[in-house]
Amino acid sequence: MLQMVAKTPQNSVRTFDIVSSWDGEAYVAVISKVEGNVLLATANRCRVHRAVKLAGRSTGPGYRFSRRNACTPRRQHGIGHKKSGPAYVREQTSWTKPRDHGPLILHESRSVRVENAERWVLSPALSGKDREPAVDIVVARKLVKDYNGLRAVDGVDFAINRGECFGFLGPNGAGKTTVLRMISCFMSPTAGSVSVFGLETAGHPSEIKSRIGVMPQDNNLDPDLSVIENLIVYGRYFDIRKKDSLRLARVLLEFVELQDKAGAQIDQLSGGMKHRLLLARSLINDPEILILDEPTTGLDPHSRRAVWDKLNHLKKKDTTLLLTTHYMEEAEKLCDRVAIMDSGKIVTIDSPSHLMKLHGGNLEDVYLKLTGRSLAD
Amino acid sequence: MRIKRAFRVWQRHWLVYTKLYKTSFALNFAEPALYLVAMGLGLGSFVKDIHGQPYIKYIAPGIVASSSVFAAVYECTYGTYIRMTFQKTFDAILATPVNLNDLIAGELIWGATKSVIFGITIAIVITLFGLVESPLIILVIPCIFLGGLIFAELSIIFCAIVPGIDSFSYFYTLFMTPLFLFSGIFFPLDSMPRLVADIAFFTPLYHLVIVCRALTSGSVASALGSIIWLIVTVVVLAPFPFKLMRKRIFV
Repeated sequence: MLQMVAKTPQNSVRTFDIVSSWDGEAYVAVISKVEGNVLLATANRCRVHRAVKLAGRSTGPGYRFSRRNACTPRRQHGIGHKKSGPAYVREQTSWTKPRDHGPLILHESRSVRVENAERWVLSPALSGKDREPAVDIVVARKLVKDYNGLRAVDGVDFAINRGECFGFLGPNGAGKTTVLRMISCFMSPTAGSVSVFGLETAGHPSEIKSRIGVMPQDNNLDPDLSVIENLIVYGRYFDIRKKDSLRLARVLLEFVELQDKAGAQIDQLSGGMKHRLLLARSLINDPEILILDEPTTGLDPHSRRAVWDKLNHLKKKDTTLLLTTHYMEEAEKLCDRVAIMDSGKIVTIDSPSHLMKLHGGNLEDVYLKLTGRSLAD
Repeated sequence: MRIKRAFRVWQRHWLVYTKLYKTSFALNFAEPALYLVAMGLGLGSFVKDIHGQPYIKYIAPGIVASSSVFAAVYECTYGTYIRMTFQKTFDAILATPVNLNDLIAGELIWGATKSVIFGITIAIVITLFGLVESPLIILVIPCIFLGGLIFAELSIIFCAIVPGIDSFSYFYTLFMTPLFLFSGIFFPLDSMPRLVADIAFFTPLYHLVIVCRALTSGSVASALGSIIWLIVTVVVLAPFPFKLMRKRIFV
């Protein structure tokens, strides 16, 4: 239940730290870290662009809701009971479509400045769990992919929950990468379907891709650009403005401990550094789902640990992680659930601990047992 | 296709180009200047006036046209192919909201932009040589963009069907070189058998040369037919780079 607890005087400006933000149909919501409450900033004039952009996952600090580009209050949405009414986020651009899911997590240091708010509506604090009902963020139904005359993926079904770390395990050629490529809208299924955020990949590639991050198996950093330019140019594909992306790039470089290499050329980096830069680049749009294809293959033990640390950090932030790996230790450490694939089919989907209990031994034993047939062939 | 997302791709190329142009920009001047001096002054001293013009003046607009389209062709054959295969830049871009059509549109527009950059550079060179009669030469800029777009389209079509980077030799030897020689750059085609002129009518460089020559000497009227030809060809070719690239990239 929402209740109105405060009114702000005219021409007031308040700054809030954002923990989460969310756009519903007719308002922009900001969860204030300070008060631990949901704060619906139903500013009667808010800068639609920015407000929506914020909710549309564009990143960067200091969003202002200001009088410029103010939108006209519309009353048919029920919230407007005052003459001036609350802000209405017009469905004018592709950003303004109501999202079909709950709040998103922004970096904690970010703040939002709300000017001239008509009223503040505060709801009781929500804990992390209540905020977000467990929903299937990726659903595949009878997914098939034929590829150079071969059936790479053969009728797989799975559903991945928001916030979990889901691993695809299996021998080379089992179809893991193909599945990930279909989820990331890089390939269209031959039959069956995949939906991400409730949207079919076939019809909404840009919308889906704007909200996921992809860390590829092979290095595809742009060798014509320096380290920081790689991040900024990549951010531009997501329509992140340069001012924001520059700041964001620095934060990300620090996150992957490459801040000293900002001006370096790509070929001056070691393999491990390139991996970390790829990880940083895949985070530039603050993705809700991060897709990692063999994120630690070919890394030395130190670099591997570094990547695990980063991934664990992202897990705590409620980012959904999808990964493929050949390292059972990695799957055991990171994954909440794994799908073991063989010859394009999913043999089993379960949590590593339950699989180990069920079949005995460690995850590698389970893996070998379940995919052993193909080795014997 | 969203033009804004295509522009993001263009911006990437522009950034790379502006980083590197200092090392390559001088070459833009060098090659056409060499042609002008060698052919125009060297060969030209043995050649009588063509259509009442000294030889160097006759070939100058053709050099603008040919150098500009070659810029688009280099960019959209080798450049595009390397980005697509070796550098995997396409893979990286396609993981963002930029889709394949946006990406291809960005490549095409960038190819045409390269044409314009080279075209303007060389137009300045021939102006400095005193070979331009009319300020109407400024109008060649949009025409070069059209010409560049046609050659970018052709190059990307070729890019989408070649098995490997070595195959581009076919494109250059069997397509670009004949166009370079038989588009009326170095001699009027009316001195050749009729068939040559008839075939040339269906090739884009021939028309771009006509446009450049007409505008350099200040006559818009004689360029109009060829400008329309260029526009129609841009439109007719447009669907193919997108279709064929989709076939190549999304197996």
